[in-house]
Amino acid sequence: MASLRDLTKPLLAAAIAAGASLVPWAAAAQSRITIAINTLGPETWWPQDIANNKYLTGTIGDPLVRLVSPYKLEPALASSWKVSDDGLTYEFTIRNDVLFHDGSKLTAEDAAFTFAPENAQNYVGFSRMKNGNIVSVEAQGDRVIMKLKEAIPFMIDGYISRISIRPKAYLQRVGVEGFNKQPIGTGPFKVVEHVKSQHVKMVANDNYFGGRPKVDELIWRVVPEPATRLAMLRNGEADVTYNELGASTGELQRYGMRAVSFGLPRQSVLVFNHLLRKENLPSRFADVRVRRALTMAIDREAVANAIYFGKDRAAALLIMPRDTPSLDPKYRPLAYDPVRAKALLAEAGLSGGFKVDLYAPNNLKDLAVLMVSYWQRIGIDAKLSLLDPASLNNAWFNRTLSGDAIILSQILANGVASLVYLDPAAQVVTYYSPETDALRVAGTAIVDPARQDEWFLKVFAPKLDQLYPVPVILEGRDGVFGLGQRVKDWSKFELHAMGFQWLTPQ
Amino acid sequence: MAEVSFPHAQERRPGRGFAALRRLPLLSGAIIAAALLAALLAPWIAPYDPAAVDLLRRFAPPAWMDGGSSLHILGSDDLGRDVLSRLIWGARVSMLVAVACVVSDAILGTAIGIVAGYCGGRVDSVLMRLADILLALPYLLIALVVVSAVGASLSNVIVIIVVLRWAALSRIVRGETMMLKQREFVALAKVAGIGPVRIMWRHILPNVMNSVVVVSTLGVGAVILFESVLSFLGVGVPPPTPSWGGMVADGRNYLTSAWWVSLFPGLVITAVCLAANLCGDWLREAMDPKSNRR
Repeated sequence: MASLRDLTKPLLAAAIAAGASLVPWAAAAQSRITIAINTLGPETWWPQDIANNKYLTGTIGDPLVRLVSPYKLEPALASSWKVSDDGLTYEFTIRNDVLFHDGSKLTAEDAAFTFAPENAQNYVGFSRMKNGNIVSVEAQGDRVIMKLKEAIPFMIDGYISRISIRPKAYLQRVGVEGFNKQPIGTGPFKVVEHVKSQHVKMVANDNYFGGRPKVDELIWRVVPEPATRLAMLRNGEADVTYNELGASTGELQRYGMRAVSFGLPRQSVLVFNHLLRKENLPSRFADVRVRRALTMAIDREAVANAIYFGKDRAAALLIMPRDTPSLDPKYRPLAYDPVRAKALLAEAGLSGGFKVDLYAPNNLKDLAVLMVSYWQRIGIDAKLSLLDPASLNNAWFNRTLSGDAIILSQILANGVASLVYLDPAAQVVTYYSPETDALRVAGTAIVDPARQDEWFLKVFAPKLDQLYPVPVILEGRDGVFGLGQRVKDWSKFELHAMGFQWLTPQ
Repeated sequence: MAEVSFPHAQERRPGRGFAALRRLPLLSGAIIAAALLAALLAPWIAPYDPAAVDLLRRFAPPAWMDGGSSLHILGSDDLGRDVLSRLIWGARVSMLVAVACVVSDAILGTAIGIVAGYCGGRVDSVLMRLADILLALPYLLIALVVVSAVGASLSNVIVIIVVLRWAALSRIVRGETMMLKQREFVALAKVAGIGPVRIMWRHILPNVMNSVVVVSTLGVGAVILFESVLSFLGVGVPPPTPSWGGMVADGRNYLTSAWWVSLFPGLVITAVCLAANLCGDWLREAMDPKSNRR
């Protein structure tokens, strides 16, 4: 029978071997970032639903041109680009040193395929509308020539910069189903595992043209509950959490966690459903006095301070002049004045109040409940229905929503670019009003950016309250990340929204 | 034709009610009574309008804690609404849903159970297969799908719960009806020329009422819990109408910093459901002729 001394050596050796085998694992774990995210949206890679699925599509792919901070563009897959004087022709020169994840080389054909008019159905919402404006896309050598039906301001900022280029040959070879099982792109991370509604595992792309990411592994975990995400961040189970808007931002701050905001400013807007119906129904919301009363009844500064933790403010204008800081104090919002609001309703012949069927996304529940409560004080009886944001957006886009009014949170429309919101022919009509249609036509005819700004400030801005939607809260950012202790450097990450290749773990 | 009476159609023993009353679980009864009173008297006893927001008093702690005050005895929520007032008004929703669902279930389940049990044959097969299908459905999933399709409202919640719940009671009533129709008093009624509807109404129904009352009472807690779950998941009573489940959901993001927003409605749901179950249990024993505790 073996003595204890006989067993000591093999046991020690086994322990050392086990310890050694743990070392590479520990090293690998150190460069893993786990992201707890509220939703991964529809989780399809093709079509590209950039409205609801920008996180995933943007991480495995790159656009031609990247929007790095509000209104600032930098080259990505296109080394350069130019726009014709009439705004109808765009020309992009494609980089020749970029590889897809399967090792094939990026060509102008891939870019032309991604934006081809026949692929319009592969985009959702505004993107589809803008894609429908493309007449032709041709690959000529290393260049891509895109021709439009009509000039659209912010075509690059609002559209081209949001679409990841897809590999034409691979997609044609494996089909849509095959692509969704194993998607590839040019991006900094490659998908190795995707379990729907649960997690997506990605690994670093060693051949990424922008340099290998500092993170080896990226794990996306769907965690819908903000409280659970916060707990995961606090105990180190997650390194990044998203999207921590509103109350969640406050909770991050309360526990001393870092909250990083990014992206173009958003604005919550009250829009009226009758605008979308085909019949031209008379509506009380067509009366500017009613719209002003709805706005003045709400103490928006108090609301912004309370549920957005002082980061935001009452929205002054539905549309801001381009390049104007969104929180510029010279644009004053309508003041909180419930007495005047009541008087305005009386002037409009609604002194007895009225009923409103109000829809809101459930992530804006607190704002919606507050609005209902404030309106009650001036005699407006609102019945609130909450829907998940994707369902509400789809119902809104497809014009199937019933009810009178909807609260939406949208990227703040800036300058002449926002005229796209006013186009009645657009698939997504949000801000259209007959009173401003002539202005829209006049504005879109101006192509020169300097003249656009001049026209906007002199002609359009003074008439902004003729637009039917009511601006509510200027949120100042698109999304908020919570960062855990293991994330060391996030400065470039903050600048490039969702640019996980620039995250530096400790 | 003269009315034929059958003395054994309903079996009663003198003095039973008083003896049973003595064993009434007083605390449970008091909790149910308090919830019913809160529901009935909410406009008069609630300190504040349950929907009234006060952004300057957000997350006010309960009165006995540091920073608390008697203005908000149980504290305030993330929008500055008084938790106590919302609990009192929330009782309206829970009690209304409980009473409406239990009564409707009792009527529907009893009617279907008696008809199936008495008629037998194809009628019984069709009705009981329908009941089997309903019993096999995952209630919560079906409720989520239906509410998503038709929209969340108090009336929709009641209709969904009633439609999903009658089957269990109907099965019990059907079983009892099948036994009762073999009894002599039913046979005599048939001989006397009394029609089937009258037999079901006058001779079967009174004899299944004990089971109906017991099963329905035991269902009160389940209905309150089901409504709370739907409201917690955001498909129950829409805001800003206060409901206990909705209140728990409102506070779940602040569990570590403002626990009172979720805890008090959670405690109330637990207490009322437990009390309803204990009362149902007591009623079952009180009405059971074989019970040793009588």
